Amino acid sequence: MKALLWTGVNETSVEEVPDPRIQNPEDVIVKVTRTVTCGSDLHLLGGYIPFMQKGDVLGHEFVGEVVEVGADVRRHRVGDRVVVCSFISCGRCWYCANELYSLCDNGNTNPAITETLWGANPGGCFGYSHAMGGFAGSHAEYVRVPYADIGAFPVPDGVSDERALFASDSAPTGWMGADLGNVRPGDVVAVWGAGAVGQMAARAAMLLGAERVITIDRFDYRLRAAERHIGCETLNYERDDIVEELRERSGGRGPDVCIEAVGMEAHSKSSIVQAYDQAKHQLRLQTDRPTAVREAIYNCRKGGTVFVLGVFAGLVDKFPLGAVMNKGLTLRSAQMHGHRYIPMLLERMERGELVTEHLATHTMPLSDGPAGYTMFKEKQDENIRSVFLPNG
Amino acid sequence: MARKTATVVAMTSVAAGVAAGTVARRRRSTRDGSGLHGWRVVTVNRSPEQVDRTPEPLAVLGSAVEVHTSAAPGDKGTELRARWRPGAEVPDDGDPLQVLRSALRQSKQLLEVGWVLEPDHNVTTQETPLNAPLRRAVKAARGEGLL
Repeated sequence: MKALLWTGVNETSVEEVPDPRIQNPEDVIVKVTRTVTCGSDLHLLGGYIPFMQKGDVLGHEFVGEVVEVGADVRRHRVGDRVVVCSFISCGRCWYCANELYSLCDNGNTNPAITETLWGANPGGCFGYSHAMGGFAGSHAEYVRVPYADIGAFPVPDGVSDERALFASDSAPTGWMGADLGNVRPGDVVAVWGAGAVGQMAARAAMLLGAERVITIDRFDYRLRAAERHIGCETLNYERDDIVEELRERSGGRGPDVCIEAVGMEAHSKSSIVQAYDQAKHQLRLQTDRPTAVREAIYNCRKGGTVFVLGVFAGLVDKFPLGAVMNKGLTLRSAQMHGHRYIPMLLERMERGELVTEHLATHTMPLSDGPAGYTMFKEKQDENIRSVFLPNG
Repeated sequence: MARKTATVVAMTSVAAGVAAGTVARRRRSTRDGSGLHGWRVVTVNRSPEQVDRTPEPLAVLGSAVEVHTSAAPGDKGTELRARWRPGAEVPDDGDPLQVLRSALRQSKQLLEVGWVLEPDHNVTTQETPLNAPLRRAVKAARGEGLL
């Protein structure tokens, strides 16, 4: 089969690789109909998560058709149209039983890497480096899906592949930020990042009853998309005074909930701060640039909640712990517990409450994947996400 | 180009650090005596009644391994402990501590899921000098667990 491989720092290629096969009794093989780039892939692409090997298949957000089932699969049959959660979780350990699916004890087949780095291992993830199990990704014609009864979900007839695709990762990630960020009716919510996850977080906050939702980014085209398709307010941090605007729009209190949906390669309006963070990042004196996290903490109201949705790998510098402590903030974070949200999100998609098609700004054959990644990374042609069609 | 080279060097260094850290932790643990004959424990999300016999991966290690179970606090299941008995013969092919950890991790999966999750076999990874440290780290990582 054809697959898009990571072949080196900022290098990908589409090559012929062996087909996946059933290995465990609850595996299914999915024929991938749509698979999409994610901002967190850029951290892998750029070598910021240093656990990729030449030849690894990228991709973790996908929809497709079941073409083969293992002996113990009960909930899926050949021909089913499914969306698959990006995280690989067993559904039976204590963490899964408590709906903390991305913390699954059993889904990561290389547990000692992250145990060494972080003290404990999260679950596995498709196409997300050997630190997360080394599972082949979804930018391929076929993919093996372990624990399929737990992690693959039937797509309702009323939901198109184009819409369901984002139930794999972006939508549940965004929803989790608003849900575990404890958004309540009447809240003012600020979201850093107007990519797919940020827009989904903004929409989730609105559906959970937030009074005002303000999304912050530096690209006008992404902000326009958030205004038009999500219906939130927007700020461009290169033009607007974020501190002043957020205070003004929240009655001087600051947002009740601040959701960071940017991650380790954040940018800053301040050239000095940006240069400092970039230099330390490139020299690996810090592994991540936490600019948006700092801003979320600074701007959050006293006693509010900051939720970190963006992916971080290791150590950051100049973390404002004093503000966290003295303002009494609740700081939460997680890789996404998609399994607990995906069925509900598919229902909302079917009812038209959650639309995602506008996120797929560029759709192309898998053979154009390397160009699609360049377009996505460089924000060319107003790209929000590049979607690949591995099977035409 | 300089930036890319720096990134590659950094990637290799981090992977090598993880590999070295894993090995060092194991050696330290074995050397100070807490490792080889100390208890290793994993919590299984099953009641003590459901963990009523020694799981197969531990049973095959025979009488050299001592196994003990107790209820985990807070309804977290059962704590499954194992250690190499002092004075018992331990396997001389490979690291005995890693053997024990693997057996515990596999036992947990058998009890909770019914089988052990296999890593993807059709890996497309290509071996290069630069990813050698990461390959070593992955090899060690598959046999370890936080135990």
